[in-house]
Amino acid sequence: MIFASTWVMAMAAIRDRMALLMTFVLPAVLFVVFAAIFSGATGKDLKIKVGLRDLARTDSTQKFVAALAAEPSLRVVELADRDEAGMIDEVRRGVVDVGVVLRADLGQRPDDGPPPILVIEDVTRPLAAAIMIGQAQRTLNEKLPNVALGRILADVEASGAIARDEREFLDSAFKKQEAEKSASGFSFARIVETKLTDAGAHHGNVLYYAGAVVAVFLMFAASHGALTLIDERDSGIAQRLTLGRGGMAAVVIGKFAFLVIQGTIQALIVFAVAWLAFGATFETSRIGLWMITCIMASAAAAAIGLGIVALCKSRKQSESATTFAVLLVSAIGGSMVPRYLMPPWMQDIGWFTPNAWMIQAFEASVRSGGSTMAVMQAWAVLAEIAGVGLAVAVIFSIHRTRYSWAPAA
Amino acid sequence: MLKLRSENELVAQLAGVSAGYEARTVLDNVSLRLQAGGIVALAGPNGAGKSTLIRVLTGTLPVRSGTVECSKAQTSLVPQEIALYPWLTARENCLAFAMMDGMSRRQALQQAPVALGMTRCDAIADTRVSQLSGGYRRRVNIAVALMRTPRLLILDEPTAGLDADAKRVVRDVMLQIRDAGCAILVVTHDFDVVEQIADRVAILSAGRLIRDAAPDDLIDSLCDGRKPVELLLASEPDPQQAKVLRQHGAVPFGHLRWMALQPPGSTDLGAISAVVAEAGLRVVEIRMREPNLADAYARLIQAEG
Repeated sequence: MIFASTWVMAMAAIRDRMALLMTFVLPAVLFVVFAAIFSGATGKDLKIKVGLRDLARTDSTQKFVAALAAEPSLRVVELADRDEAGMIDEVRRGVVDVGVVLRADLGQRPDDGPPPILVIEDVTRPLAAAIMIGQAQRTLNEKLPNVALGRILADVEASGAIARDEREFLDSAFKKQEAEKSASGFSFARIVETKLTDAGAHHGNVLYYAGAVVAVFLMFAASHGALTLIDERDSGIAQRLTLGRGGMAAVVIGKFAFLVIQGTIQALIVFAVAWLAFGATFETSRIGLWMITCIMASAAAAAIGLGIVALCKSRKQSESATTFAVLLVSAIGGSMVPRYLMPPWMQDIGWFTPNAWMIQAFEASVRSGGSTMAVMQAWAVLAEIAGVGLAVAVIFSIHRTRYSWAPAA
Repeated sequence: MLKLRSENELVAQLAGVSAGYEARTVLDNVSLRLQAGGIVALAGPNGAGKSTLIRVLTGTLPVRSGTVECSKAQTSLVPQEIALYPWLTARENCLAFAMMDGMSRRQALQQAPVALGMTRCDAIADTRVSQLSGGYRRRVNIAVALMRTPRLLILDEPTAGLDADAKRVVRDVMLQIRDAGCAILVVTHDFDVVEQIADRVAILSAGRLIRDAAPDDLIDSLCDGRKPVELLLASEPDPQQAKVLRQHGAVPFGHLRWMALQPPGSTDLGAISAVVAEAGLRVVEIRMREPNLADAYARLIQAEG
């Protein structure tokens, strides 16, 4: 009995060649993609994109720039025409992961002005700033020790402890500083200042993950709903519906409409949880943009689900294909790991996934100062995906239903 | 209610129709007339072209030659499968399919009780299809097709898998629909039901319509007034033995069962017994009875080879 049951399962797999192929090939393909992403995010392939502006252009800043440019974990892009505000905008729009503005010579005395290095971070990419600051520290220590020492001496000098004997002076100054634990004492923070693109935004990274998770689940839910196309084909319902005035086109469009409504509600729930449970702040004046983003993202997900299912001949094929497709585009598109932590080539491929555009649209539509142009650009791509996916779903649903009626040769 | 129409009003007609898929011709020069208030049974072996004929009538397959006169909007199909949403009730299924067909909700609400009443599903109108018996599911399957008040109703194996009682109800439902003026084309191999309700039997074989006649005429013409003799053999005949049986007009009729016609002028079973003995076979049971449609069909298909 057990053998017979196993044998029946085996035959079901063997006789659906496409499903068989997907069962054994897709895990390997997914592994390759996931390995590339996760090794990139945690290993030597990590390349944070740094926007850099050297306003001081002194000997020390130029050495610092050269040292950063040679750092393999960073991709330094010199943005020569950006001031501090321009750099904030670049970081907010995601053109670069983190911004660095060199405002003054690195050896300047602490009381001569603000810290010479300004690191601009975005709430959605906190790791990028942390990595950048770590690299800046390492660069200063390894490549510019005289700058670091000069800063120490300047800090010590600024503390007011001056004596004839240099060693005694330094020892006593350090002891005094340690005893005071004063904010004005030496610290790396006196060289580097960090600034957020949205100082008022709370839990911006929660909003990022809200968008990322919504993108994944919209597609899983849409794919699951789209499987009714196969069920209806197998149960004879499609044959019956073909005779209706709207035919299969009306049926597919009706399913699409339902999946868009369902997806919009799913997105609403996830963002509501982000707001209620994590205190993520929304820009209320942009709620309209966010609503349209929900609809556009749901439409793209629904069309992808229906399109893939319509292309498949059996339920088994559909389940494998949709699971694979959703996992793949979610991984590459930034729903599992932020794209800025991926290798650059994979970041570029990410733009071919709906997830990347959904995340961009959600991110830019819920944050204050988010780029409306970025939102509209994402809408345009999502609308195209929805249009193409829906057309494929309609054409192949009609074709498959017709095919299901044809007698075997 | 369905509109009453004058009997013999032509509802659909195929004239010299050929149709097929890609390079394959499945229907070859088929002509068929379907009239209001009439039931035509369509039978034929697998691959004979029954499904293709349904597709031609429902307008989902273009013909290669010949003409089709049939209004797609006034034709309903009851698929062989239970083509219903199991999580909806019988009434909700009627409403859903009608509205997907373009009917307004108001119209659908008015028509649903009519369709459910005609199929004797009033009592289970608000029960989910998943909770219904096989017989009720078949009837709801028909009720959904009646929502568009068709002039032509095509039923594909409507009694498949039903017990005798459930078959009788489905048969009565078909008669009621016919009496309301609808033309019915029923694709079935349930010859007991066909004999009881069909005005004509159309038999397809290899894409050709080889017979289109009233059941009694079909029986008379194929059995030639002779009674069939049913044989229950002790063992399955080998190819040589089967050849001998066939040479004497016997045809297989089921497991170990063969059927031959009483030889002309013969009144007893002696001649048949002699044939069996000649083939070297042993008979467990031999029985002469009145001819029926199943006998006629078996002989016809056997003759077509």
